[in-house]
Amino acid sequence: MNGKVTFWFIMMFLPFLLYVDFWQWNTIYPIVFGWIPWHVFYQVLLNIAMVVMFACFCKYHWPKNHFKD
Amino acid sequence: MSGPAMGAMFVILLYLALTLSIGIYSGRQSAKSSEGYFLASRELGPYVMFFTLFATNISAFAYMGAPGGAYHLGVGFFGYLATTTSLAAVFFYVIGYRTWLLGSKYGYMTAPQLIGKIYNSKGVTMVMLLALSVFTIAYMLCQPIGAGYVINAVTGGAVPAYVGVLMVLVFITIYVFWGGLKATAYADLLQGSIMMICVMLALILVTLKLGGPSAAAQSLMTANPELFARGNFSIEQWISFGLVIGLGVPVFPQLFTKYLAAKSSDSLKTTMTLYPLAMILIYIPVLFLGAFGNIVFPGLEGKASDAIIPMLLENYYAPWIGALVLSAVIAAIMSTIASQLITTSTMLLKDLYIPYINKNLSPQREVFVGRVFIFSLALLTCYIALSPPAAILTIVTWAFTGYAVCTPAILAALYWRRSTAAAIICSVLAGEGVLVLFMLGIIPASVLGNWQACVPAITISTLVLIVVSYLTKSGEEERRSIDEKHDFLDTIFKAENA
Repeated sequence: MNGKVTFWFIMMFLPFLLYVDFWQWNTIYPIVFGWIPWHVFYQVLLNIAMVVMFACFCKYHWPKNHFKD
Repeated sequence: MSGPAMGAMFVILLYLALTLSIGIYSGRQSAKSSEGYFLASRELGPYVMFFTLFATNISAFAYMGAPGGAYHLGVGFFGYLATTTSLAAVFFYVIGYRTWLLGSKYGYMTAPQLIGKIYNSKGVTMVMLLALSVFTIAYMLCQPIGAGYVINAVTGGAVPAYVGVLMVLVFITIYVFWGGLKATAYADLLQGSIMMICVMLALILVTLKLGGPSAAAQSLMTANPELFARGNFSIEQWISFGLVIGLGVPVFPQLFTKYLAAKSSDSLKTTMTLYPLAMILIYIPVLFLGAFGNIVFPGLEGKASDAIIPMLLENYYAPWIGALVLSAVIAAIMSTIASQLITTSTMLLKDLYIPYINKNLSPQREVFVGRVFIFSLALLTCYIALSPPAAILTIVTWAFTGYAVCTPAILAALYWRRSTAAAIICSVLAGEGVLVLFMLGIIPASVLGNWQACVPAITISTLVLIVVSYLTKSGEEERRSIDEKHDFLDTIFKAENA
């Protein structure tokens, strides 16, 4: 694997690790917007981070199919 | 039937008629060719692809089981359900893109056909067909039960559950039968939109009555503070569930059909990017509604909490408003069944009927035979949904694990030249075998502690895949076929990353 592929492999694998947020398992506070406990908001942020990461991946790394694209 | 029940029924019928019209209109040209009917002529653009993949994956569970779970276990369920499903989107590239490339070049139409053809092995096709179709058919047979339940609830019991089951199945069968995958995908465009909009509407309507989300959260924190924490989940469960969903969802056969039907890689890119956003929009409302249900209806036990969203709406609003919002549930059920119907019939036709029963079937007759399968599966679904046997419900409980154990074999087929047909067959059989041992209780679940059966099943299927690949050697034909497919993929991936 070259550097670019390794970078994207790590980036794709990272959310799987960050999903298991054992270090803040029962961290309720702060309550975000007055109704979302922190651990839920963290998972929301993780999902948003995935949107941004996937968008960058599609733009900068997704290999072109020269036959059809 | 009372006036309010008639109002609710009118809203549901209007929704069903709209779905049917869109399905019939969009699928009117589809039946002219086999590829047109079963794969929408491989022309699904980015937004249709996103909505159809999303609507297919979100089933009745999201609107009934998930809020029911949040009612008992709390809003910590979000990571457990939403993030795990978002993680599966990684595989829209990892599996989806290679599937689409091979499908476009070689004309493959199903997952078992694709994996079997990579190894030029009928055995691989047959094992994949068995593994994937058993769980898909069982899953499909149980979905309409939820529709009957919802229609019965919003009409205050005026419409019996079996009538609801029949209504939904008749509407689905007509548009799938008529327009194939294109009708299904365009109906999903409507259904996916309804699923997102209605569930957010439900959250707004209910929290308004509870004094706003902050006031509702405060009440819940005072009465049931544990529902805001994650004490009801263990790390082992969290990881196990991540594995089951992350690896199981991307190999649903109905998703393979969508990968193969993409118009271009843009369809997969858009879907992958927007998917985590859709999970937030669906699961935040349903889970908070489920948890807030404790404020209004405390003390529900077991499955009674699955109806918490209809109960909340019914408590505060007229039945027709409840019906409008609960169209989302019916949309989730219909979109999942429709995709499963078309995919299962395609697999039965392409991987079983044509290779083993009628090799000389003309392309024109393929659509006819496919429709016979659709009609037969719809009849079977109707029969089973009205009185589901316990065995079917057990298979459904294990379906995600059943899919997930196929993932190592599918990844090997797409990425690993050294893998052999024998290894693929042994991997799937070993993984499913472990699952059956747990399912039948021959290996007690207690040996796993807090882990779930997917962990040993996926580990065994992966180990068997590697060991058997090194112990066996591909024959000449098999080797040539593997090299041809991988050489083609290398022209795209290696050239780009050189």
